[in-house]
Amino acid sequence: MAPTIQYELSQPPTDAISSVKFAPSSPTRLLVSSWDRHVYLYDISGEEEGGKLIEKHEHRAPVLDVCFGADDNEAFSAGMDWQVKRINLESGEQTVLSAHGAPVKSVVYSKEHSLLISSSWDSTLHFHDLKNPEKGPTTIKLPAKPHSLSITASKLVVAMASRLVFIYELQSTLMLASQSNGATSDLTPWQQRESSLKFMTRAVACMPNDDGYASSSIEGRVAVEWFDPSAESQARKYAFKCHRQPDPENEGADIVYPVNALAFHPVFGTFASGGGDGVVALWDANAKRRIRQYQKYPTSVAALCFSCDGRYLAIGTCPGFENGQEEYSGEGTTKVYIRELGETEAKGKGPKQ
Amino acid sequence: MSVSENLIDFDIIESQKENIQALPSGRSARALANLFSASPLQKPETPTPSDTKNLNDAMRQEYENELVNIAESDDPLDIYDRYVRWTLDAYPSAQATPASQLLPLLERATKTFLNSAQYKNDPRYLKLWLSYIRFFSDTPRETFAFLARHNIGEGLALFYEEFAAWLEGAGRRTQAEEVYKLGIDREARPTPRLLRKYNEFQHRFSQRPEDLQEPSSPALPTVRPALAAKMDPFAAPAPRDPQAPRPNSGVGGSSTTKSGKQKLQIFSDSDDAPPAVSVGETKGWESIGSLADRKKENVIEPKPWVGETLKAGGKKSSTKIPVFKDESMPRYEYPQVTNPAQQQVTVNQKGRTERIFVNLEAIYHNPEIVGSELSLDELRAISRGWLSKAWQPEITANQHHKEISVNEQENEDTVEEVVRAIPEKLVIARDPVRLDENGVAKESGREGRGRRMKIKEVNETQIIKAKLSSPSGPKMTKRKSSKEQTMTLHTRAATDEIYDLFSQPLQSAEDEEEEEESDEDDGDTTDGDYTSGGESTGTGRLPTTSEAGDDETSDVKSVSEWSDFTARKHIPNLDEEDEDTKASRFTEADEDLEAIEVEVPRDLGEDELVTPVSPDLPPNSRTMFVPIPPEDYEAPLRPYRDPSQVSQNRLPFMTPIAEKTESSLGLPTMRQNKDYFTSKTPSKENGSRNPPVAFGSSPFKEIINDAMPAQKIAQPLLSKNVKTNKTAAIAAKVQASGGPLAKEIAPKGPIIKDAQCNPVDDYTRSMIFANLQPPLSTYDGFFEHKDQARGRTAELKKFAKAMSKISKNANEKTMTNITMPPVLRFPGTDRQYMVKRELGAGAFAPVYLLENVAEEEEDENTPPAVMGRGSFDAYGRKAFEALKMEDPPSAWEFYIMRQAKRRLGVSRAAESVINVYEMHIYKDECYLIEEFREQGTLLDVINIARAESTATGPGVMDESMAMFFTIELFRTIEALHSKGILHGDLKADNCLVRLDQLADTDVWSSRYRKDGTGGWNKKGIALIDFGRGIDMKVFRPDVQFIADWKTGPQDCAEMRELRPWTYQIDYHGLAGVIHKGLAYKGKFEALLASGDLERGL
Repeated sequence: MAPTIQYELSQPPTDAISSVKFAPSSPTRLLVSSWDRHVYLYDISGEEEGGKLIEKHEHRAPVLDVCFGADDNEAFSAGMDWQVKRINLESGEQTVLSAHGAPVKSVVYSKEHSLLISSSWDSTLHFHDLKNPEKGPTTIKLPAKPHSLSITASKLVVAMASRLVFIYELQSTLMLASQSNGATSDLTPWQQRESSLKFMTRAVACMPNDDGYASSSIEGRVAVEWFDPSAESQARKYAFKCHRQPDPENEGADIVYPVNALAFHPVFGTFASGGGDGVVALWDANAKRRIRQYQKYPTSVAALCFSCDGRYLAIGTCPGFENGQEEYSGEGTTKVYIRELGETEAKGKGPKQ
Repeated sequence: MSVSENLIDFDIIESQKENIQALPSGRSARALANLFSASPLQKPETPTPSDTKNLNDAMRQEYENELVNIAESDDPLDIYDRYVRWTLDAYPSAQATPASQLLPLLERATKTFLNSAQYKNDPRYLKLWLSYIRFFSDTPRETFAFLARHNIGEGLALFYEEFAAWLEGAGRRTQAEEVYKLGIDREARPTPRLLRKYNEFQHRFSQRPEDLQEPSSPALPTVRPALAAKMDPFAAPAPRDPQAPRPNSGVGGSSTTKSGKQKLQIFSDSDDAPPAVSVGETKGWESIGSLADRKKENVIEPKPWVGETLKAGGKKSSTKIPVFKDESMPRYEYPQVTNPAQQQVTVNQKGRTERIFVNLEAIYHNPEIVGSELSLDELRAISRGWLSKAWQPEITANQHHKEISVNEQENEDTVEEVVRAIPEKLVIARDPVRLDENGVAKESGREGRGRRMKIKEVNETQIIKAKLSSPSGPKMTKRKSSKEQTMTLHTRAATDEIYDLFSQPLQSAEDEEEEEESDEDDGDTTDGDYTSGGESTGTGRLPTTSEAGDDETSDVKSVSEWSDFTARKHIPNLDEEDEDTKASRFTEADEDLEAIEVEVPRDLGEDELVTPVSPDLPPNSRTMFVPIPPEDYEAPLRPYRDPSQVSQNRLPFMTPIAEKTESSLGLPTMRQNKDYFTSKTPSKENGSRNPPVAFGSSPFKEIINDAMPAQKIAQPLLSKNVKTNKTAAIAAKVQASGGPLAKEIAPKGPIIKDAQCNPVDDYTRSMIFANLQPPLSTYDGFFEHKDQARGRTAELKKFAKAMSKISKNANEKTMTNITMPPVLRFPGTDRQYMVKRELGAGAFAPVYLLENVAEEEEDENTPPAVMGRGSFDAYGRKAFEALKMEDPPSAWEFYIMRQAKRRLGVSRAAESVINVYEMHIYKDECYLIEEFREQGTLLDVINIARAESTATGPGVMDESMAMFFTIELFRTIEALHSKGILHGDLKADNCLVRLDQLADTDVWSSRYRKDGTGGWNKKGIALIDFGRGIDMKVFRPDVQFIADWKTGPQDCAEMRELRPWTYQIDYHGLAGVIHKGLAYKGKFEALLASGDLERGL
């Protein structure tokens, strides 16, 4: 197996990282959003040690999420200043697409539908139909505060507070939304589920093959579920414990860390989880096995992303806010690691026999 | 037997009747009497209780013995019977007396014969049971039923009678009737009696109204199969009483009332056979059990506590407020985390403790409200304060509808946010202190926020109105644009000529500085922080130097020209005003200058903002010209320029409106006059201003020389030592010294961090000295020889005394002693001083008059007007100076005065503070050499006024004069306070009169001009004696001083009352002075005490 290379970006953000995303077509281009109010654009293709910071785009307030748009030059940011912005990565121009009533937690882009969806702590989703940009976004009210979004070609998974999970079908939602201009409050989701996890959901990520999704909680657990509402499929869902470390102070005790990030490998369909313990592990969802676990990072893992070809895995680490006390002053310990994966490194191992 | 014996005294029994349990069979009166009469006479017959007891025990024992052999007894029941009877007799209230042991006895008795066929219908046995029921049973009915079940007494009428009687007594008449009937049916004997009783019962029954409350259950309840009485399989077919009716076997459980023979109550519907005997085992009710058994439920058996749980704590009451349910959305009632604290650490199935890392209580802070959990990002945002902001939409280029107003609002908001968010940072940002205190990181962080400001700066500039503390170093903020203005305003051929003349030698070297100088010289001199000589016009600041400066030209020619120049320079008002350096004044020429909104330069670097001025003036009422230096400008930090330089090197408007130095050195002559004034403070000569004869190029040289020496912090240049027409010298100094400005940064934050302290105590002072930045040793003119002792005090004192004697004896021709005036020479300076005489002596320090003597010259040859000495350094010092020797030695006054001077910069106020030139401090003595003014103090003036008594009494000062001095005082004190200096000892004799002479050609305008024109800036006061001065900068901004020394009536009210004070001390002093001057009538102290003055102030 080819040795994996891992290096850190030489100019990481100066404050906590909220999100890391690779470009849709270029496997060496990535965006990092940070609490230092910037969105950083890097290119790791060159020979430069530690990647190259192409640009950083300043915002008014910490940026909680970022995603690429239709191409490698378009990005969208979710800001704590309540705004959803479009950033032209070439020109640096920032356009406000919409404003929520509270900080925007997530943005996801669906290229199949040219749809940008943002979720905010004001318990709403904004559907921005980018084919008709002059129209304002459609607001969809949620029963609870959304914690995480994930999108597939056809579906949108919204994980919310009080253990609610909504799954929307994009096509129909879009149609409904386009029919009624303006805020559509009562768009019911395609599915309403109860989270498989007892504690607060931290992250969701959808399988690239649109079969299902994985969700993680603050209590060291990951659940894998399927979209198919048939009883058979639903019976397959499972959850497992992860990201627990032995307590150094207490023999026979474990510390249970939150699983902050989930990311699916675009090719193999396996997924990686990153936890507050600084560990990144690769899992085979179908086989229900762990493929591998990487060496612990010095600080908690905040964000994960695979590149579009699955060759790279970007790991954003920074001191978390897990136990409610942040001594993180904002610089020095935030790092973005780029890991180059071997050919079969992230490949599933096949089901347990 | 005697009658007495036969007739029992019933009284005995009577008195004890409550204790005597009635027995159906009655009791023996004799026995009772015997029992209860305690007559000693009858002792042998009536046993005492203890005897009784013993007797009883003995008797009992007998019975017990009998019982032992009961098995062989023919009639074992008899034993029991007798035993019980005896017990009843022996213990009149046997049932209540545990000692009687009646209960266990009865239980024994009854149990023993429970299954005995022999005694089933024995009345004795039944009576035993009845006794038991009567005395002890808690559930008679049950016992009766039990008896019935066991067929005890079923053939005895007694049983039925008793049972029915009890039932009747219990109100169960129907059941009682049943029982009667049952008994009759069974022909229980004696039947007639039973019948009779029944009839009586019925009779009673019929008479009483029906009671409907009766329980309708059968008297003898159906016995369920499980509870069926056990049939004694071993019981021989009971010898039936022939009279007893045949048992009615069979018929299951249907009619139990009839089936008194409850041999087998096995329910069997289909069974009509009389399986009385066989089938089924009946369980239960083998025995009633002893009473203790029956009562066992009421007694908790003691158990070991192991493994027991105590119920502790109450249920946590849930919130009384109904939880809000948002009905608008469909409700999803999934189970939630409701008790975060408990979930934090759990033990999983494998026994492993699991502790959840995240703080559940922070996340689920309000478990009752579903959905109120906070995500980790929210927690972080809250802790950083991001969630408390309200955001307005940002305007981006693509927005079609530019809402400017929104934008502005937003800017304002964000500015406000910025301001709100980092208010103190903004302020701090402008305080040079910040730079030194905080590392880079802080700066960058702030820079981030500063960036935010930057964005907004595009839209509006922030007007920062704050009193800047006086910066550590002189700071020039200038506008380049002013350059043109100035030049246009002040272009004057002669000026140029003169400058050209003077600038020749140095031009090459100092071209740049010239440039700068021109910039700086744009008429701007701000009050506060303009300390570099270059900029400061230094106009009236050094009255001495002005003239001297004017006069000290490099050559005679220039002198004359200079004189001309000086004449000329006064022509435009502008000049004077500019010279006056009071930036608060708005000159007409300045109208071109726009109002300055001081922008906060983001990287202040070493620069400080110069406040435009006296704090009291509303900044917007006048436009103030705040000169901003060019980016790379470093304010010069050089020692005083030789006054000779000043004149030459300044632009006209920056030359001081200086008077010529007076050539009259009437010092000796003035001594006599001095005596007239009873002032104790040294008067300072008003500068001997004799034009030096030959300066040659020494001034220049001096400048160069001065440029070289160590980086001393210049005493603020009162006089300009500006070369030619540009900064020249100052700039040279800047060049040479480069850095000092950077070092001259105010102390980083307060040195004394106490909220309350005594500001003048030694500890405070030494701490201040220790932490001064820059340290005292770098002050120009400061020489410390802590380890040396000088020891010349005594000598000086002696001499002074001698001199005073001489003066007194001057009129006498006898010269007793011509004492050699001591000459003082100090290392570090090349000046020599000759002590002339004592000027005065305060509580701590004598003050002497000194005369400068040049090294080269003989000591005693002291033409006072030797101004052109090389020994005269750049301070513009004069021949005569004052020497104050404080005991114990302290550099405090030196420090305060220097600070005052420095902070006041070039201003009228600065002129009102005496200069201090040198400080030589030794272990035992210190020598403070300061400016000498000969005109006396305010006190002298007051006295003069008083001396002119009029008819109405002691004279007072002319009102306008009093006003004038008052105004000067106020101005000075205000300025000092604004720079954070307290004088601390304001009194009339600490204010010297400063009535400097104007130049010959100047006219002292007869009408007072508050802006100092018309020569008015040369007139005023000069403060001395800062020994009690306080530098507010070294304290916290909110410090309060406590005077814990002994205060007197002259101290301010706060001090006397031990209340905290800061500036009040000066107000009080001010009040005193003014009062003295203005209204001498009346008691000053009383006025003070009333506090009116201070309140007014």
